[in-house]
Amino acid sequence: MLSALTLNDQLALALGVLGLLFLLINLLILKRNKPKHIPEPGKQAVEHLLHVSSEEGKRLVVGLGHSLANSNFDLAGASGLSLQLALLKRSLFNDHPLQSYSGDGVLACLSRMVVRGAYRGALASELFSGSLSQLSGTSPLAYTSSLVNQIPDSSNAGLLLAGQMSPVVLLALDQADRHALPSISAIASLSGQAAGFIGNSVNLMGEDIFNAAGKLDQRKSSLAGLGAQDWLRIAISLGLLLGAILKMGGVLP
Amino acid sequence: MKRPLPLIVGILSGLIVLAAMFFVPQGSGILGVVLSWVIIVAGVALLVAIASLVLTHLRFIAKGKKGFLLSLVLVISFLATLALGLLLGVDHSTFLGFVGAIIRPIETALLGLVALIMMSAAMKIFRERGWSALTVSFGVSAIIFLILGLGFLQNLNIPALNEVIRFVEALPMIGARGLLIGIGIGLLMMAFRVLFGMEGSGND
Repeated sequence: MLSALTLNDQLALALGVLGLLFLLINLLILKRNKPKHIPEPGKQAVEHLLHVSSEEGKRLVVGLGHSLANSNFDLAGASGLSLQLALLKRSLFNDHPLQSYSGDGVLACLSRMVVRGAYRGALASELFSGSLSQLSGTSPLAYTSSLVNQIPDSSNAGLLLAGQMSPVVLLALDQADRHALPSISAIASLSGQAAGFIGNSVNLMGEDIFNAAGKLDQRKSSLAGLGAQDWLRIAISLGLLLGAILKMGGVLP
Repeated sequence: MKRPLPLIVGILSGLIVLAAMFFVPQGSGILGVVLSWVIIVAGVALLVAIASLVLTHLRFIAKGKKGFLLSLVLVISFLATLALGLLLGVDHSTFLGFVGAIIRPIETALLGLVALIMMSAAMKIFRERGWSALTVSFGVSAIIFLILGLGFLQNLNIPALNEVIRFVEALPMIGARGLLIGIGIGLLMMAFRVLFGMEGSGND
């Protein structure tokens, strides 16, 4: 049955199996409570935002994107949820807890589950409010215009964009810049990452957008995932090198 | 403590769908069914999210919260659109005209604004970020690709120059592939964490 798969499918399957293997090995060898400290600009920038938020008693605005199940299912659209959870755990009892906006119905419901779960986990269910995680527009433009309107609020400490977004979101980053609001963009799409260069925002690129949450919450599964990511990166680099040599040697067509 | 039954059901469903995606002729039936479920669940989730949004804004209006007039505008426009959609039907030309007459000008204006902001951002990048390797390479590559985009150099028909142009034009694709590999690796690990229930929703 496997012979019916194309070369690309077989490569994807092999990479998937390799990734799973690396994740399991990392889960087994990772010592609990002894995570290695890797200085990372993304993590530091997010921690700085949190610090400002709790010091000044202001809220952090998180844009979770507008694409998880809207047109076609895109898992990258959920990448902001783990970051939301990691940040929420540190700001549950702030004067202004984290406020998130989603541009997708499924994402809005999942985000609300995350918020509710975080409060329930901290035995503070009575502090949970549905307004902490809202739907704001169901198209990229509607979502962005809604987000743009939320930014000028004087009770905001910073803006974090994490998830799948179109480059139109640069309107929100520009608005944050105009109001001297620190911003971080961890957008999964390439065009979104390009838009993240606007103004003074800290722009996370490539796999860094998935790393910030893992490095913030320091959970064993997240840290093992980061370790497996590094191993997989080495394996892919070696594979590409080998492929190039084989192609130059005429072995591969 | 994670509840085992939902976790097991989640893991099994994920693995079955994953297997069905690889073995297309055999698994296409399963994929079709799952896709229908996804559409239904996504539709219901959107309804829930919209209902929650309207309730939140009604609460803002009732409490007279700062900016409650905007909440009032949202609720009135939502109810007007809903009533018109229910009365005329969502495919009715009057309804489509009504909605389009509001949405289209706003979207066009926003896209125009995006173009302007992109232009000003390209100018601002040097002032805000200073002269660094990133900003200089951004400026140089923007100029090079603007010149290449004119097509003047290609029309000179110099074989050696054409080779250089082809090489330069391939550079963004190489960079993009590097980023895409990184995103793919991160996404794969996230997918495993979701699939095996390691990415919890707070506490369960």
